[in-house]
Amino acid sequence: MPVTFHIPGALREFTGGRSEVDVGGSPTTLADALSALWSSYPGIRDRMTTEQGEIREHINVFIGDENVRYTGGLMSRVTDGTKITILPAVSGGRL
Amino acid sequence: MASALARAHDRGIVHRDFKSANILVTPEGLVKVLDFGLARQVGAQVFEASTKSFATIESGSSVSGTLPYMAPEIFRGEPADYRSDLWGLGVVLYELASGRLPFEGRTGFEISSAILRELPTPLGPPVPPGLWSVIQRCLAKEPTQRYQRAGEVQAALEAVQSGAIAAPEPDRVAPPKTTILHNVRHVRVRKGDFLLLVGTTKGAFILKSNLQRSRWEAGGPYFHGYSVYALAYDNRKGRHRIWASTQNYWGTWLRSSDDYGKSWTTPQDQTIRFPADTGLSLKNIWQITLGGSDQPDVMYCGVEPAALFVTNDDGATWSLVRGLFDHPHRPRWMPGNGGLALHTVVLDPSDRQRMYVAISSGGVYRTTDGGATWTAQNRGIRAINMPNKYPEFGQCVHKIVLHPAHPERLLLQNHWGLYRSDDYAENWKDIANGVPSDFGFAMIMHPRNPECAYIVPVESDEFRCTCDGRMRVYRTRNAGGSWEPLLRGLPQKGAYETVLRDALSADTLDPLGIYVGTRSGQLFGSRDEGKSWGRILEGLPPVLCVRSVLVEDTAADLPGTTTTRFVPASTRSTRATSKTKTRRRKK
Repeated sequence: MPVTFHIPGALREFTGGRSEVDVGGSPTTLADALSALWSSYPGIRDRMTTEQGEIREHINVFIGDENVRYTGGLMSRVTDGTKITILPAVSGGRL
Repeated sequence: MASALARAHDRGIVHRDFKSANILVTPEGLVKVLDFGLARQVGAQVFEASTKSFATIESGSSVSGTLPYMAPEIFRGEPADYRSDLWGLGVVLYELASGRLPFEGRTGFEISSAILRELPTPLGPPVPPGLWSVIQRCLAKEPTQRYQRAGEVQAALEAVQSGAIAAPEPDRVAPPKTTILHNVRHVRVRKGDFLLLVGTTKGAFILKSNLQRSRWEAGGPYFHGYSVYALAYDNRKGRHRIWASTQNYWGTWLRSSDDYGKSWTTPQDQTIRFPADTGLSLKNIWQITLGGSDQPDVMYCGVEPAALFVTNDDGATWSLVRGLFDHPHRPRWMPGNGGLALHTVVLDPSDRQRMYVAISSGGVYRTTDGGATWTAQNRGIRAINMPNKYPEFGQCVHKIVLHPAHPERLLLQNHWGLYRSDDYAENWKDIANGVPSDFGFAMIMHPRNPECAYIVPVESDEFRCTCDGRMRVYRTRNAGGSWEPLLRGLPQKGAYETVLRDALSADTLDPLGIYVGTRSGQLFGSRDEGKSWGRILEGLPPVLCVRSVLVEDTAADLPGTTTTRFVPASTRSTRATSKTKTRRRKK
């Protein structure tokens, strides 16, 4: 079973409209899984991260229900069947 | 270390004495952070004690004081918070990476002064650029510019370690997609139409009229939910292209439309990007300035953090203007209320080598060699925020304008202060004669009359609203010798309006049309050079910028218009509220 990404509405333009996409290649860390996602759907990388490679300030990534900022960041473990969710933070909707 | 701090911060504990001497590596390789709870014992006492001497790490003796690890806000008398610990973490990381402290000095005064004012010497290879950028962000002078949580530093360091995303791939630029906007109200544009492009905090609108400019149709919102700080219309080389800078939590994107908003380019990879060695990332594009008609593929973008980017291939690739970025003043520019932004780019139409930029807060800079070298040009401009009221640079300039037929003449709206230069910005003269306030943001020059300019004064720094609740545009017809209020048709009661720096705009018609958008979402226009005004639209999100377009070539048979499901625009000036839905165009 591959790793599944849940894609927010704003990024579905880059996944052909799909809200869930699977990535293969047996990733073991979040970093591996993201690399696979970005190589299949290039428009997503620069929307998730800055040009310095940091996850954007108001974007959160969850493995299951856990925000990866508190579970080891990009080195968080993923296994077959892991569900990863990308979401903007509530703090992002300013003005 | 970052994870220990993250755990402490999660429990509401600020360490306040984070330094290498407090970090222990156990024989098992476990990193422990010591001395939690000493927070209240540090502070003033340590400050005194630590002025004696500072042994370096290399000498093997322990660092007795904590002065070299103290964050600048502590010297400014502000309370320490989590972010002060992140500064300390930045100092320790610098020490670990280089074997020396980022801020050194022989006396406590020298050290504290370096912490407050100097930038650390950059760390090149073998220190990975990703690590250097993490350190730089920890060592930002302003706590708001640092990471806000230790968990973020931890995640960033792990990213560097994994190498997965810390090594950006600037060379990879996937071609942009095209997005056709359905279910957005569009305006159908023909030759001879007159348009207003309006950028707001939540999207852009296109307003259409004819040369009479009395009835308006509204199209939009484009870029639903994105702030549009800059818009430009490119009619060079027979184009009819709208450029827009769009920003929200998914980043800042430069997009363009060749069919008046029906379809837009959607870049896959960010094209305006700070190189890895700068450690910076793009926050916003404040200004899009087109090169002259003899340079039809040249464009400039003024961005935040303050820098200038240029393209020579019609926006396909962009590069950082290093001559300005490497200016020795840059580390001393300070962010204004809107961040540290290069918000205005002015080209001299008579000399392609000469251009000006305005930086908040850095002041005016000029190049006379096409961008290779830059000089501060602020002589005579008062800086209320500095102890020396007339410094070489550091002024918070809000807008500069240049008269195309008299390029030696520039006018300037400062954060307090109105100025004129008649010598290419060599010297500035105060022209705040008869205005209710010399604070303001917006300023435009009459395209034909070099004696005539318009501003919208606001009351003060603290109260950035039109004076006395009366909305008045002020005009000078003697280059600042005197100013007169223009108010007929503008609200004169309870009108606490703010007009931002690019929300005042003029067209090129005769008599001149002037347009002004407010933060309360109203748009006013005058067709008689400002004598009388009418409300064009209300109920918009806060207006950031307004640009006018006279459609001179035919646009009736543009590609794409027939394949788009067209939602007819109302003939009345109503707010467009339909939801944006995007779909990728099949190639």
